[in-house]
Amino acid sequence: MLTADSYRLVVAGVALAAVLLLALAVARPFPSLIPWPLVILAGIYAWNLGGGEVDQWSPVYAGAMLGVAELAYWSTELRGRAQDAERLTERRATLIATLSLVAVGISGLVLAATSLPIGGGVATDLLGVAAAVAALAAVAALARPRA
Amino acid sequence: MKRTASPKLGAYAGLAALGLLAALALGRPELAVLASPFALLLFAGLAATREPEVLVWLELDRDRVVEGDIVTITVDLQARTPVERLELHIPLPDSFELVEGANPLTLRLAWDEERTIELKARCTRWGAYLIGDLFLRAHDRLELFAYDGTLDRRTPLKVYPRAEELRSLVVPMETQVFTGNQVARTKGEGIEFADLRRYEYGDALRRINWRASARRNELWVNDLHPERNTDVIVFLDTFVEAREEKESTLDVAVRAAATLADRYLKRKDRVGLISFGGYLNWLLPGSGIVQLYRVVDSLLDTQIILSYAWKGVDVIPARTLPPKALILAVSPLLDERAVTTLLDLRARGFDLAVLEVSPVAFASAAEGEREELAYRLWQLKREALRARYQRVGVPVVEWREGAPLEGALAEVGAFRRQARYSRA
Repeated sequence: MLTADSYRLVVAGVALAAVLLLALAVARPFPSLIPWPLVILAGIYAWNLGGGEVDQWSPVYAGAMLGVAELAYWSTELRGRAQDAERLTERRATLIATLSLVAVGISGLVLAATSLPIGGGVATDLLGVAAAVAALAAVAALARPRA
Repeated sequence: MKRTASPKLGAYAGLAALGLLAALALGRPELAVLASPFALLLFAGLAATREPEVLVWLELDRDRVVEGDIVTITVDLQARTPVERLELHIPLPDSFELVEGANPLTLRLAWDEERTIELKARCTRWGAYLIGDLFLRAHDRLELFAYDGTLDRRTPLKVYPRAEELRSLVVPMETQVFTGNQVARTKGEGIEFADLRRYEYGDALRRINWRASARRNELWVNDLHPERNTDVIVFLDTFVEAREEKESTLDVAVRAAATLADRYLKRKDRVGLISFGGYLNWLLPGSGIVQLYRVVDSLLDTQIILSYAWKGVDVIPARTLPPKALILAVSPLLDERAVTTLLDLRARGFDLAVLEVSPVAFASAAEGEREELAYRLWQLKREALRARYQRVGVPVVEWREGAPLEGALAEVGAFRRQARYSRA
Protein backbone atom coordinates (compact mmCIF):
# COMPACT_ATOMS: atom_id res chain seq x y z
CA MET A 1 0.00 0.00 0.00
CA LEU A 2 1.18 3.50 -0.81
CA THR A 3 1.42 5.92 2.07
CA ALA A 4 0.04 9.44 1.65
CA ASP A 5 3.52 10.94 1.15
CA SER A 6 4.71 8.37 -1.34
CA TYR A 7 1.39 8.68 -3.19
CA ARG A 8 1.93 12.43 -3.51
CA LEU A 9 5.49 11.82 -4.69
CA VAL A 10 4.33 9.39 -7.39
CA VAL A 11 1.64 11.83 -8.56
CA ALA A 12 4.10 14.73 -8.55
CA GLY A 13 6.65 12.61 -10.42
CA VAL A 14 4.17 11.64 -13.12
CA ALA A 15 2.96 15.24 -13.41
CA LEU A 16 6.56 16.43 -13.71
CA ALA A 17 7.18 13.83 -16.41
CA ALA A 18 4.11 15.11 -18.28
CA VAL A 19 5.35 18.69 -18.04
CA LEU A 20 8.81 17.65 -19.26
CA LEU A 21 7.21 15.77 -22.14
CA LEU A 22 5.26 18.88 -23.05
CA ALA A 23 8.42 20.97 -22.86
CA LEU A 24 10.18 18.48 -25.13
CA ALA A 25 7.28 18.54 -27.60
CA VAL A 26 7.41 22.32 -27.73
CA ALA A 27 11.19 22.59 -27.83
CA ARG A 28 11.82 20.05 -30.61
CA PRO A 29 9.15 20.97 -31.98
CA PHE A 30 7.11 17.73 -32.08
CA PRO A 31 3.38 18.61 -32.39
CA SER A 32 2.18 15.00 -32.32
CA LEU A 33 3.57 14.65 -28.76
CA ILE A 34 1.56 17.58 -27.39
CA PRO A 35 -1.72 15.71 -26.58
CA TRP A 36 0.01 13.04 -24.48
CA PRO A 37 1.06 15.25 -21.56
CA LEU A 38 -2.49 16.57 -21.50
CA VAL A 39 -3.83 13.01 -21.38
CA ILE A 40 -1.44 12.20 -18.51
CA LEU A 41 -2.42 15.33 -16.60
CA ALA A 42 -6.11 14.58 -17.12
CA GLY A 43 -5.45 11.02 -15.95
CA ILE A 44 -3.79 12.28 -12.77
CA TYR A 45 -6.71 14.60 -12.25
CA ALA A 46 -9.19 11.74 -12.67
CA TRP A 47 -7.10 9.58 -10.32
CA ASN A 48 -7.14 12.35 -7.71
CA LEU A 49 -10.89 12.69 -7.98
CA GLY A 50 -11.37 9.13 -6.81
CA GLY A 51 -14.96 8.57 -5.76
CA GLY A 52 -15.46 11.92 -4.06
CA GLU A 53 -17.74 14.85 -4.64
CA VAL A 54 -18.03 16.59 -8.00
CA ASP A 55 -15.12 19.01 -8.34
CA GLN A 56 -16.45 22.54 -8.81
CA TRP A 57 -13.09 23.72 -10.14
CA SER A 58 -13.12 21.40 -13.14
CA PRO A 59 -14.31 24.16 -15.58
CA VAL A 60 -11.22 26.18 -14.62
CA TYR A 61 -9.00 23.16 -15.26
CA ALA A 62 -10.74 22.63 -18.60
CA GLY A 63 -10.08 26.24 -19.63
CA ALA A 64 -6.47 25.97 -18.47
CA MET A 65 -5.93 22.75 -20.42
CA LEU A 66 -7.31 24.28 -23.57
CA GLY A 67 -5.09 27.32 -23.01
CA VAL A 68 -2.02 25.13 -22.51
CA ALA A 69 -2.80 23.11 -25.64
CA GLU A 70 -3.36 26.25 -27.75
CA LEU A 71 -0.16 27.87 -26.50
CA ALA A 72 1.83 24.70 -27.16
CA TYR A 73 0.56 24.41 -30.74
CA TRP A 74 1.12 28.10 -31.32
CA SER A 75 4.66 27.72 -30.08
CA THR A 76 5.35 24.98 -32.63
CA GLU A 77 3.85 27.11 -35.40
CA LEU A 78 6.10 30.04 -34.58
CA ARG A 79 9.21 28.18 -35.77
CA GLY A 80 10.44 29.65 -39.02
CA ARG A 81 7.33 31.71 -39.47
CA ALA A 82 7.19 34.68 -41.72
CA GLN A 83 7.51 38.18 -40.37
CA ASP A 84 4.28 39.48 -38.89
CA ALA A 85 3.10 42.59 -40.60
CA GLU A 86 -0.02 43.39 -38.65
CA ARG A 87 0.21 42.57 -34.96
CA LEU A 88 -1.00 39.06 -35.60
CA THR A 89 0.86 37.87 -32.51
CA GLU A 90 -1.20 40.12 -30.27
CA ARG A 91 -4.40 39.00 -32.01
CA ARG A 92 -3.54 35.35 -31.52
CA ALA A 93 -2.64 35.86 -27.85
CA THR A 94 -5.96 37.64 -27.29
CA LEU A 95 -7.80 34.87 -29.10
CA ILE A 96 -6.22 32.18 -26.92
CA ALA A 97 -7.03 34.10 -23.74
CA THR A 98 -10.62 34.56 -24.92
CA LEU A 99 -10.93 30.90 -25.87
CA SER A 100 -9.72 29.85 -22.44
CA LEU A 101 -12.22 32.13 -20.70
CA VAL A 102 -15.07 31.01 -22.95
CA ALA A 103 -14.00 27.41 -22.28
CA VAL A 104 -14.33 28.01 -18.53
CA GLY A 105 -17.86 29.36 -19.06
CA ILE A 106 -18.97 26.55 -21.37
CA SER A 107 -17.43 23.92 -19.12
CA GLY A 108 -19.34 25.46 -16.23
CA LEU A 109 -22.55 25.04 -18.20
CA VAL A 110 -21.61 21.43 -18.99
CA LEU A 111 -20.91 20.83 -15.31
CA ALA A 112 -24.24 22.38 -14.44
CA ALA A 113 -25.95 20.18 -17.04
CA THR A 114 -24.43 17.03 -15.52
CA SER A 115 -26.06 17.84 -12.18
CA LEU A 116 -29.56 17.79 -13.71
CA PRO A 117 -31.55 14.85 -12.33
CA ILE A 118 -32.37 12.83 -15.44
CA GLY A 119 -32.14 9.46 -13.84
CA GLY A 120 -29.60 6.73 -14.57
CA GLY A 121 -29.22 3.24 -15.82
CA VAL A 122 -28.10 1.39 -18.93
CA ALA A 123 -30.39 3.39 -21.21
CA THR A 124 -28.82 6.68 -20.11
CA ASP A 125 -25.33 5.24 -20.52
CA LEU A 126 -26.18 4.02 -24.01
CA LEU A 127 -27.60 7.42 -24.84
CA GLY A 128 -24.34 8.99 -23.62
CA VAL A 129 -22.23 6.61 -25.72
CA ALA A 130 -24.42 7.32 -28.75
CA ALA A 131 -24.07 11.06 -28.14
CA ALA A 132 -20.27 10.76 -27.88
CA VAL A 133 -20.08 8.67 -31.08
CA ALA A 134 -22.42 11.10 -32.84
CA ALA A 135 -20.23 14.00 -31.75
CA LEU A 136 -17.12 12.31 -33.14
CA ALA A 137 -18.96 11.41 -36.35
CA ALA A 138 -20.00 15.04 -36.73
CA VAL A 139 -16.37 16.13 -36.26
CA ALA A 140 -15.21 13.58 -38.83
CA ALA A 141 -17.88 14.72 -41.28
CA LEU A 142 -16.90 18.35 -40.91
CA ALA A 143 -13.20 17.57 -41.20
CA ARG A 144 -13.44 15.57 -44.44
CA PRO A 145 -11.96 17.16 -47.56
CA ARG A 146 -14.45 19.24 -49.49
CA ALA A 147 -14.74 19.31 -53.23
CA MET B 1 -5.76 25.67 -52.80
CA LYS B 2 -4.88 22.44 -51.10
CA ARG B 3 -6.35 22.00 -47.65
CA THR B 4 -4.31 20.31 -44.94
CA ALA B 5 -5.41 19.69 -41.38
CA SER B 6 -3.25 21.05 -38.61
CA PRO B 7 -1.90 18.55 -36.04
CA LYS B 8 -4.20 19.94 -33.41
CA LEU B 9 -7.34 18.94 -35.31
CA GLY B 10 -6.70 15.24 -34.75
CA ALA B 11 -5.31 15.84 -31.28
CA TYR B 12 -8.37 17.79 -30.11
CA ALA B 13 -10.72 15.19 -31.60
CA GLY B 14 -8.83 12.47 -29.77
CA LEU B 15 -8.78 14.38 -26.49
CA ALA B 16 -12.50 15.11 -26.74
CA ALA B 17 -13.36 11.50 -27.55
CA LEU B 18 -11.12 10.12 -24.82
CA GLY B 19 -12.51 12.56 -22.26
CA LEU B 20 -16.15 11.82 -23.10
CA LEU B 21 -15.68 8.05 -23.13
CA ALA B 22 -13.65 8.15 -19.90
CA ALA B 23 -16.40 10.22 -18.28
CA LEU B 24 -18.92 7.54 -19.28
CA ALA B 25 -16.72 4.68 -18.22
CA LEU B 26 -15.68 6.13 -14.87
CA GLY B 27 -18.91 7.96 -14.19
CA ARG B 28 -17.07 11.22 -13.52
CA PRO B 29 -18.68 14.34 -15.07
CA GLU B 30 -15.44 16.32 -14.57
CA LEU B 31 -13.82 14.39 -17.44
CA ALA B 32 -16.67 15.38 -19.75
CA VAL B 33 -16.15 18.93 -18.54
CA LEU B 34 -12.45 18.71 -19.44
CA ALA B 35 -13.30 17.32 -22.89
CA SER B 36 -16.07 19.77 -23.71
CA PRO B 37 -13.91 22.84 -24.66
CA PHE B 38 -11.93 20.74 -27.13
CA ALA B 39 -15.08 19.31 -28.67
CA LEU B 40 -16.78 22.70 -28.90
CA LEU B 41 -13.71 24.37 -30.39
CA LEU B 42 -13.66 21.67 -33.05
CA PHE B 43 -17.35 22.16 -33.85
CA ALA B 44 -16.99 25.91 -34.02
CA GLY B 45 -13.82 25.79 -36.10
CA LEU B 46 -15.06 23.16 -38.53
CA ALA B 47 -18.43 24.80 -39.04
CA ALA B 48 -16.90 28.20 -39.70
CA THR B 49 -14.01 27.20 -41.93
CA ARG B 50 -14.17 27.92 -45.64
CA GLU B 51 -11.64 27.99 -48.40
CA PRO B 52 -10.03 31.40 -48.73
CA GLU B 53 -10.24 33.16 -52.06
CA VAL B 54 -7.38 35.53 -52.72
CA LEU B 55 -6.54 37.10 -56.06
CA VAL B 56 -2.90 37.94 -56.59
CA TRP B 57 -1.07 40.00 -59.18
CA LEU B 58 2.66 40.57 -59.38
CA GLU B 59 4.63 43.06 -61.38
CA LEU B 60 8.15 44.40 -61.57
CA ASP B 61 8.88 48.06 -62.07
CA ARG B 62 11.38 47.24 -64.81
CA ASP B 63 12.15 44.27 -67.00
CA ARG B 64 15.81 45.19 -67.54
CA VAL B 65 18.26 46.33 -64.90
CA VAL B 66 21.98 46.54 -64.49
CA GLU B 67 23.90 44.66 -61.79
CA GLY B 68 23.64 46.50 -58.50
CA ASP B 69 20.34 48.16 -59.39
CA ILE B 70 17.31 47.83 -57.18
CA VAL B 71 14.15 46.34 -58.60
CA THR B 72 10.74 46.87 -57.01
CA ILE B 73 8.43 43.87 -56.85
CA THR B 74 4.81 44.84 -56.34
CA VAL B 75 2.28 42.26 -55.21
CA ASP B 76 -1.39 43.22 -55.29
CA LEU B 77 -3.74 41.12 -53.21
CA GLN B 78 -7.50 41.10 -53.21
CA ALA B 79 -9.36 38.96 -50.69
CA ARG B 80 -12.77 37.65 -51.72
CA THR B 81 -13.12 36.06 -48.30
CA PRO B 82 -11.54 37.15 -45.05
CA VAL B 83 -8.21 35.50 -44.31
CA GLU B 84 -7.10 35.46 -40.71
CA ARG B 85 -3.46 34.73 -41.46
CA LEU B 86 -1.94 34.67 -44.90
CA GLU B 87 1.69 33.76 -45.37
CA LEU B 88 3.12 34.99 -48.63
CA HIS B 89 6.49 33.90 -49.94
CA ILE B 90 8.12 35.00 -53.16
CA PRO B 91 11.22 32.87 -53.77
CA LEU B 92 13.98 35.14 -55.00
CA PRO B 93 17.18 33.96 -56.69
CA ASP B 94 20.25 33.71 -54.46
CA SER B 95 21.80 36.67 -56.20
CA PHE B 96 18.99 38.98 -55.05
CA GLU B 97 19.38 40.84 -51.77
CA LEU B 98 16.22 42.08 -50.15
CA VAL B 99 16.74 45.72 -49.19
CA GLU B 100 13.20 46.70 -48.27
CA GLY B 101 10.13 44.73 -47.22
CA ALA B 102 9.80 41.28 -45.71
CA ASN B 103 9.82 37.95 -47.46
CA PRO B 104 8.12 35.72 -46.38
CA LEU B 105 5.42 37.92 -44.94
CA THR B 106 2.37 37.24 -42.81
CA LEU B 107 -0.68 39.43 -43.08
CA ARG B 108 -4.39 39.52 -42.44
CA LEU B 109 -7.00 40.35 -45.03
CA ALA B 110 -10.54 41.43 -44.34
CA TRP B 111 -13.53 40.85 -46.60
CA ASP B 112 -12.93 42.31 -50.09
CA GLU B 113 -9.80 44.03 -48.85
CA GLU B 114 -7.21 45.05 -51.40
CA ARG B 115 -3.61 45.27 -50.40
CA THR B 116 -0.40 46.22 -52.15
CA ILE B 117 2.94 44.93 -50.95
CA GLU B 118 6.22 46.27 -52.20
CA LEU B 119 9.53 44.49 -51.97
CA LYS B 120 12.80 46.03 -53.07
CA ALA B 121 15.66 43.77 -54.01
CA ARG B 122 19.15 44.48 -55.22
CA CYS B 123 20.32 42.37 -58.16
CA THR B 124 23.91 41.39 -57.46
CA ARG B 125 24.62 39.10 -60.38
CA TRP B 126 23.88 39.30 -64.08
CA GLY B 127 21.47 36.77 -65.53
CA ALA B 128 18.02 36.20 -66.94
CA TYR B 129 15.53 35.48 -64.19
CA LEU B 130 11.86 34.68 -63.78
CA ILE B 131 10.45 36.30 -60.67
CA GLY B 132 7.00 35.47 -59.38
CA ASP B 133 6.48 31.89 -58.26
CA LEU B 134 4.26 32.75 -55.33
CA PHE B 135 3.66 30.50 -52.38
CA LEU B 136 0.56 31.22 -50.33
CA ARG B 137 -0.55 29.64 -47.11
CA ALA B 138 -3.79 30.74 -45.51
CA HIS B 139 -4.98 29.74 -42.05
CA ASP B 140 -8.47 29.80 -40.63
CA ARG B 141 -9.36 31.70 -37.50
CA LEU B 142 -8.87 28.78 -35.12
CA GLU B 143 -5.83 27.43 -37.00
CA LEU B 144 -7.43 24.06 -37.66
CA PHE B 145 -6.69 24.03 -41.38
CA ALA B 146 -4.01 25.44 -43.66
CA TYR B 147 -4.68 26.15 -47.33
CA ASP B 148 -1.57 25.95 -49.50
CA GLY B 149 -1.35 27.27 -52.99
CA THR B 150 1.25 28.07 -55.62
CA LEU B 151 0.62 30.77 -58.14
CA ASP B 152 2.58 31.21 -61.30
CA ARG B 153 2.98 34.95 -61.77
CA ARG B 154 6.43 34.72 -63.27
CA THR B 155 7.72 37.84 -64.91
CA PRO B 156 11.01 37.92 -66.81
CA LEU B 157 13.78 40.12 -65.51
CA LYS B 158 17.09 40.61 -67.23
CA VAL B 159 20.00 41.76 -65.14
CA TYR B 160 22.74 43.05 -67.37
CA PRO B 161 26.36 42.96 -66.34
CA ARG B 162 27.66 46.34 -65.24
CA ALA B 163 30.02 47.66 -67.89
CA GLU B 164 33.33 49.08 -66.78
CA GLU B 165 34.53 52.45 -68.01
CA LEU B 166 37.30 52.07 -70.60
CA ARG B 167 39.18 54.91 -72.20
CA SER B 168 41.31 52.81 -74.52
CA LEU B 169 40.84 49.48 -76.22
CA VAL B 170 42.99 46.92 -77.94
CA VAL B 171 43.44 48.16 -81.48
CA PRO B 172 43.00 45.48 -84.15
CA MET B 173 45.88 44.98 -86.57
CA GLU B 174 43.65 45.26 -89.62
CA THR B 175 40.57 47.29 -90.41
CA GLN B 176 37.52 46.48 -92.49
CA VAL B 177 35.99 48.38 -95.40
CA PHE B 178 33.27 50.34 -93.62
CA THR B 179 33.63 53.76 -92.03
CA GLY B 180 34.49 53.75 -88.39
CA ASN B 181 36.70 55.36 -85.80
CA GLN B 182 39.86 53.35 -86.36
CA VAL B 183 42.63 54.86 -88.46
CA ALA B 184 43.46 52.30 -91.13
CA ARG B 185 46.98 51.39 -92.14
CA THR B 186 46.05 51.74 -95.79
CA LYS B 187 45.96 55.04 -97.66
CA GLY B 188 42.81 56.62 -98.98
CA GLU B 189 40.23 59.25 -98.13
CA GLY B 190 40.51 60.25 -94.53
CA ILE B 191 41.75 62.83 -92.09
CA GLU B 192 45.02 61.51 -90.70
CA PHE B 193 48.14 62.37 -92.72
CA ALA B 194 49.95 59.32 -94.09
CA ASP B 195 52.52 60.36 -96.70
CA LEU B 196 53.47 62.68 -99.60
CA ARG B 197 53.54 61.63 -103.23
CA ARG B 198 53.67 63.19 -106.66
CA TYR B 199 50.48 64.50 -108.11
CA GLU B 200 48.73 62.10 -110.46
CA TYR B 201 46.01 62.79 -112.90
CA GLY B 202 42.66 62.66 -111.12
CA ASP B 203 43.91 63.70 -107.68
CA ALA B 204 41.68 66.22 -105.95
CA LEU B 205 43.06 69.73 -105.83
CA ARG B 206 42.35 70.03 -102.12
CA ARG B 207 44.85 67.26 -101.47
CA ILE B 208 47.75 69.19 -103.00
CA ASN B 209 50.36 70.05 -100.41
CA TRP B 210 51.31 73.56 -101.59
CA ARG B 211 54.24 73.97 -99.26
CA ALA B 212 55.89 70.72 -100.45
CA SER B 213 55.01 71.53 -104.07
CA ALA B 214 56.66 75.00 -103.80
CA ARG B 215 59.85 73.46 -102.44
CA ARG B 216 60.07 70.85 -105.23
CA ASN B 217 58.69 72.90 -108.12
CA GLU B 218 56.17 70.22 -108.94
CA LEU B 219 52.84 69.20 -107.54
CA TRP B 220 52.81 66.94 -104.52
CA VAL B 221 49.75 65.68 -102.77
CA ASN B 222 49.02 64.38 -99.27
CA ASP B 223 48.19 60.74 -98.79
CA LEU B 224 45.76 60.13 -95.94
CA HIS B 225 44.77 57.25 -93.74
CA PRO B 226 41.04 56.50 -93.96
CA GLU B 227 38.95 55.90 -90.82
CA ARG B 228 37.55 52.44 -90.91
CA ASN B 229 35.72 50.11 -88.64
CA THR B 230 37.04 46.82 -87.32
CA ASP B 231 35.60 43.43 -86.59
CA VAL B 232 36.01 42.22 -83.04
CA ILE B 233 35.01 38.76 -81.94
CA VAL B 234 34.64 38.20 -78.22
CA PHE B 235 35.54 34.59 -77.56
CA LEU B 236 34.14 33.45 -74.23
CA ASP B 237 35.46 30.20 -72.81
CA THR B 238 32.61 28.42 -71.02
CA PHE B 239 34.04 24.93 -70.63
CA VAL B 240 34.85 25.19 -66.93
CA GLU B 241 34.92 27.80 -64.23
CA ALA B 242 36.66 28.31 -60.92
CA ARG B 243 34.16 29.23 -58.26
CA GLU B 244 34.35 30.43 -54.71
CA GLU B 245 31.06 30.97 -52.91
CA LYS B 246 28.96 33.30 -55.04
CA GLU B 247 31.61 34.52 -57.47
CA SER B 248 33.22 32.60 -60.30
CA THR B 249 35.54 33.16 -63.23
CA LEU B 250 32.52 32.95 -65.54
CA ASP B 251 30.77 35.82 -63.72
CA VAL B 252 33.86 37.98 -64.11
CA ALA B 253 34.42 36.87 -67.71
CA VAL B 254 30.86 37.76 -68.72
CA ARG B 255 31.25 41.22 -67.18
CA ALA B 256 34.48 41.72 -69.12
CA ALA B 257 32.89 40.45 -72.35
CA ALA B 258 29.91 42.78 -71.95
CA THR B 259 32.20 45.73 -71.27
CA LEU B 260 34.30 44.99 -74.34
CA ALA B 261 31.26 44.55 -76.58
CA ASP B 262 29.78 47.79 -75.31
CA ARG B 263 32.95 49.80 -75.88
CA TYR B 264 33.74 48.41 -79.33
CA LEU B 265 30.16 48.92 -80.50
CA LYS B 266 30.30 52.53 -79.34
CA ARG B 267 33.33 52.90 -81.62
CA LYS B 268 31.17 51.81 -84.55
CA ASP B 269 33.01 48.51 -84.83
CA ARG B 270 31.26 45.27 -85.60
CA VAL B 271 31.20 42.87 -82.69
CA GLY B 272 30.49 39.15 -82.71
CA LEU B 273 30.37 36.62 -79.93
CA ILE B 274 31.44 33.03 -79.62
CA SER B 275 30.54 31.27 -76.42
CA PHE B 276 32.72 28.19 -76.63
CA GLY B 277 32.05 25.46 -74.11
CA GLY B 278 29.80 22.50 -73.40
CA TYR B 279 27.53 23.95 -76.01
CA LEU B 280 28.52 26.36 -78.71
CA ASN B 281 26.71 29.65 -79.00
CA TRP B 282 27.60 32.30 -81.49
CA LEU B 283 26.48 35.63 -82.80
CA LEU B 284 27.51 36.95 -86.19
CA PRO B 285 29.33 40.28 -86.14
CA GLY B 286 27.11 43.30 -86.27
CA SER B 287 27.06 46.88 -85.12
CA GLY B 288 24.78 49.29 -83.35
CA ILE B 289 22.68 49.29 -80.21
CA VAL B 290 20.61 46.33 -81.40
CA GLN B 291 23.76 44.24 -81.66
CA LEU B 292 24.71 45.32 -78.14
CA TYR B 293 21.40 44.00 -76.82
CA ARG B 294 21.86 40.81 -78.82
CA VAL B 295 25.33 40.28 -77.40
CA VAL B 296 24.30 41.00 -73.82
CA ASP B 297 21.17 38.88 -74.06
CA SER B 298 23.29 36.08 -75.40
CA LEU B 299 25.75 36.55 -72.55
CA LEU B 300 22.94 36.31 -70.00
CA ASP B 301 22.21 32.78 -71.17
CA THR B 302 25.81 31.77 -70.69
CA GLN B 303 26.37 28.91 -68.33
CA ILE B 304 28.80 26.13 -67.77
CA ILE B 305 27.56 22.92 -69.37
CA LEU B 306 29.66 19.93 -68.44
CA SER B 307 30.82 18.05 -71.48
CA TYR B 308 33.61 15.60 -72.15
CA ALA B 309 33.27 15.79 -75.93
CA TRP B 310 36.33 17.13 -77.68
CA LYS B 311 35.67 20.36 -79.51
CA GLY B 312 37.99 22.27 -81.72
CA VAL B 313 38.07 25.21 -84.07
CA ASP B 314 36.31 23.17 -86.78
CA VAL B 315 32.97 23.32 -84.90
CA ILE B 316 32.90 27.12 -85.05
CA PRO B 317 30.89 28.34 -88.06
CA ALA B 318 33.19 30.04 -90.55
CA ARG B 319 31.03 33.16 -90.89
CA THR B 320 31.46 33.99 -87.21
CA LEU B 321 35.19 34.54 -87.80
CA PRO B 322 35.53 37.14 -90.56
CA PRO B 323 38.97 37.71 -92.03
CA LYS B 324 41.11 40.40 -90.37
CA ALA B 325 38.98 40.25 -87.24
CA LEU B 326 40.48 40.75 -83.82
CA ILE B 327 39.62 37.85 -81.54
CA LEU B 328 39.56 38.82 -77.91
CA ALA B 329 39.43 35.64 -75.86
CA VAL B 330 38.19 35.86 -72.29
CA SER B 331 39.13 32.61 -70.64
CA PRO B 332 40.39 31.16 -67.37
CA LEU B 333 42.62 28.89 -69.50
CA LEU B 334 41.62 25.86 -67.49
CA ASP B 335 40.35 23.58 -70.22
CA GLU B 336 42.65 22.04 -72.80
CA ARG B 337 39.98 22.27 -75.51
CA ALA B 338 39.76 26.03 -75.23
CA VAL B 339 43.54 26.38 -75.00
CA THR B 340 44.08 24.30 -78.16
CA THR B 341 41.32 26.06 -80.08
CA LEU B 342 42.85 29.46 -79.38
CA LEU B 343 46.24 28.25 -80.57
CA ASP B 344 44.57 26.85 -83.71
CA LEU B 345 42.96 30.22 -84.38
CA ARG B 346 46.35 31.90 -84.09
CA ALA B 347 47.86 29.29 -86.42
CA ARG B 348 45.18 30.21 -88.96
CA GLY B 349 46.37 33.79 -88.92
CA PHE B 350 43.76 35.44 -86.74
CA ASP B 351 44.69 38.46 -84.71
CA LEU B 352 44.29 37.06 -81.20
CA ALA B 353 44.64 38.40 -77.67
CA VAL B 354 43.82 36.48 -74.52
CA LEU B 355 42.42 38.07 -71.41
CA GLU B 356 43.02 35.45 -68.77
CA VAL B 357 40.42 35.63 -66.01
CA SER B 358 42.70 34.34 -63.34
CA PRO B 359 41.43 31.26 -61.51
CA VAL B 360 44.32 31.70 -59.05
CA ALA B 361 42.23 34.14 -57.03
CA PHE B 362 39.61 31.40 -56.60
CA ALA B 363 42.05 28.75 -55.43
CA SER B 364 44.36 28.59 -52.47
CA ALA B 365 46.90 26.03 -51.36
CA ALA B 366 45.72 23.55 -48.80
CA GLU B 367 47.80 23.13 -45.68
CA GLY B 368 50.72 20.79 -46.01
CA GLU B 369 54.04 20.65 -47.79
CA ARG B 370 52.84 18.48 -50.66
CA GLU B 371 49.73 20.57 -51.18
CA GLU B 372 51.79 23.76 -51.34
CA LEU B 373 54.16 22.11 -53.78
CA ALA B 374 51.21 21.04 -55.96
CA TYR B 375 49.86 24.59 -55.85
CA ARG B 376 53.21 26.03 -56.94
CA LEU B 377 53.50 23.46 -59.71
CA TRP B 378 50.04 24.39 -60.94
CA GLN B 379 51.02 28.04 -61.04
CA LEU B 380 54.23 27.17 -62.90
CA LYS B 381 52.21 25.21 -65.44
CA ARG B 382 50.07 28.27 -65.98
CA GLU B 383 53.18 30.39 -66.48
CA ALA B 384 54.40 27.87 -69.05
CA LEU B 385 51.04 28.04 -70.83
CA ARG B 386 51.25 31.83 -71.04
CA ALA B 387 54.79 31.55 -72.42
CA ARG B 388 53.49 29.09 -75.03
CA TYR B 389 51.00 31.66 -76.26
CA GLN B 390 53.51 34.47 -76.19
CA ARG B 391 55.94 32.45 -78.32
CA VAL B 392 53.38 32.45 -81.13
CA GLY B 393 52.76 36.18 -80.71
CA VAL B 394 49.59 36.05 -78.67
CA PRO B 395 49.46 38.37 -75.69
CA VAL B 396 48.07 36.73 -72.56
CA VAL B 397 47.23 39.09 -69.75
CA GLU B 398 46.20 37.88 -66.35
CA TRP B 399 43.24 39.84 -65.05
CA ARG B 400 41.63 39.52 -61.66
CA GLU B 401 38.30 40.79 -60.45
CA GLY B 402 38.74 44.11 -58.76
CA ALA B 403 41.66 45.19 -60.95
CA PRO B 404 40.80 47.69 -63.70
CA LEU B 405 40.13 46.04 -67.04
CA GLU B 406 41.76 48.99 -68.73
CA GLY B 407 45.09 48.06 -67.15
CA ALA B 408 44.88 44.57 -68.62
CA LEU B 409 44.00 45.94 -72.06
CA ALA B 410 46.91 48.40 -71.87
CA GLU B 411 49.19 45.45 -71.17
CA VAL B 412 47.85 43.70 -74.28
CA GLY B 413 48.52 46.84 -76.32
CA ALA B 414 52.06 47.09 -74.95
CA PHE B 415 52.78 43.46 -75.84
CA ARG B 416 51.45 43.93 -79.35
CA ARG B 417 53.61 47.02 -79.91
CA GLN B 418 56.64 45.15 -78.60
CA ALA B 419 55.85 42.15 -80.81
CA ARG B 420 55.59 44.43 -83.81
CA TYR B 421 59.05 45.86 -83.13
CA SER B 422 60.41 42.35 -82.64
CA ARG B 423 59.02 41.27 -86.00
CA ALA B 424 60.55 44.35 -87.63
